[in-house]
Amino acid sequence: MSTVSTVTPGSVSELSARELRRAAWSRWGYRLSVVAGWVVFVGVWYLVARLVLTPQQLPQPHVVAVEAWDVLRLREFGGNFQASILRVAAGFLLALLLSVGLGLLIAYSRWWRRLLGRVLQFVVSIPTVSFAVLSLIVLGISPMGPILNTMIVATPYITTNLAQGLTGVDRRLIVMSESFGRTRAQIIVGVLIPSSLLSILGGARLAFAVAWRVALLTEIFASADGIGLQIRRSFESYDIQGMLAWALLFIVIMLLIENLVLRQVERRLSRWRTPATGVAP
Amino acid sequence: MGAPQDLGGFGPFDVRPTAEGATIRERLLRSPPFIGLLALALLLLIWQWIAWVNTRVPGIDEIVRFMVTEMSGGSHGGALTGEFWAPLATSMQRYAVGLAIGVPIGAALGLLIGAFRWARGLFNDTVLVLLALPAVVWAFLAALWFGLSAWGPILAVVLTVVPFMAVNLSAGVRNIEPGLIQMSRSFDVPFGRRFVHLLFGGSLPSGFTGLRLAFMTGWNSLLIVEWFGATSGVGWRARFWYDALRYPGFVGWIFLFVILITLLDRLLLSPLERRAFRWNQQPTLTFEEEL
Repeated sequence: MSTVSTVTPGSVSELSARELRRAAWSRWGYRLSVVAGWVVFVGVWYLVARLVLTPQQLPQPHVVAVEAWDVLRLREFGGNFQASILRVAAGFLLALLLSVGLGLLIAYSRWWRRLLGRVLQFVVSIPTVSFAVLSLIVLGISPMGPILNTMIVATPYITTNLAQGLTGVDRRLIVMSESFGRTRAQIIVGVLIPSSLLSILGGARLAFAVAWRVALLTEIFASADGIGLQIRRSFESYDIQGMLAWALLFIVIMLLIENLVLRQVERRLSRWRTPATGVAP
Repeated sequence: MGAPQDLGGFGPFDVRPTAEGATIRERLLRSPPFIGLLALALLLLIWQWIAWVNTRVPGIDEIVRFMVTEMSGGSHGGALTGEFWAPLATSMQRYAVGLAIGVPIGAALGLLIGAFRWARGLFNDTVLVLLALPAVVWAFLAALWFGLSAWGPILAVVLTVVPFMAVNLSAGVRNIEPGLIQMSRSFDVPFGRRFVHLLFGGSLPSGFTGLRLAFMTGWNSLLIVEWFGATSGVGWRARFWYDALRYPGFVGWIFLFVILITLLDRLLLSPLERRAFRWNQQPTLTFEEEL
């Protein structure tokens, strides 16, 4: 279908100019479509809110934005947020400790690795809401629920990536360190930890994404304070704009932590090597 | 949960050679079914231990006894009689309808986003927003929009299923070998055939991963929405026994909920995913089972 044309210097520059123009246009076209996407998203929200549902069912976007600003200024956002984020952090820390313990078992024997792999696989396949509900009766209304559930859900991700990271360590580096008479501790600090750090971090990022959702869910079912409780309270008093405002504020902050802070740390630490990403168990 | 990556750890980490003539006992100890059973037993043992320590938590024997009464429709004492198949059938029906609506929409959206730049610009951010919202937000919204009708749970399932399908399929399309696309262009393969064999075939594996995740999260949000805003279904029944302070019933229904999705995943989705991946790579979300 294409015909071969003779090429002269003039036609080449003409062609490349046209190509450049087309590339620039398509870049702008893409940006335009992104903007159009947001316009459509907000527009559909407005349309549904105005025409299909009542304001008690779905408030318009600007109402939610004003409400969020209100929540931020007037309604103890700081205290509730602190309670929630501290629980996520505590659960996460516990998950890290547990993962190191499990990692030792995994490194110790193949049989343990297979057994733990199976156990973790079971745990991952349990719908997260069941942990939230079960903590209601195991722990009652208590701050331990979100912490323990964060730990349970985050552990498989971190452990898998720890195992993955240890597997990926260049064996020749270990052999070399041994022949140069390095001690065990030196090898762990100098070789094992730096080489597996990245995949652990990648796993930690994935784990965090699951963990804060579980913590929120657990707070909704069983907690005396925190963002989750505020969302549930708003829901139970049919205050949709309050519910959306609390939820959106928390989600935006968590996504920022996930995508800016954790990703930046990962990028910074991975400058010296090709990046590794987290692996789902 | 972001888009899943390739298979995780537990690879050939231990390099010691296996013993040549393993005894039958050793082989049994190492066989995957045995290890699976052992893992299950370990988890049940942990539960039983919690039940011994904490008096509020029902033991496994109590749970089983309660669920047998529930299944046979016998009396739980007083006017409360067992109800098993009706809530289960209601939930299953909602789940099936939600998936039947959500999966095709999500798949179509994913193929569009993967294949066309304009579609990516137009829909990608919206899909990511939908993905970022926890299922519980959808559950609450659906409950408020539809009250106690059956459409609330169905909508919640649809809304959680769509972004998972879309994200995974579009990632699958973008991962198709560019050389294949160029070749099919140079050979003037018609669009219809390119769509079926290249686009659809190439994105099939990640499509199955998306399907698996979608099935799991959809089931999740079904329980949440039934817990907070329904008068029938598995979630409602669990809530009913929780409010009645009959913890064996509550835990029994939650266990049933877990067992059902695990069975579905093990017997149907996981083998399908493995099959879809067989031609080029390994599936996600599984631990390696060789050795």
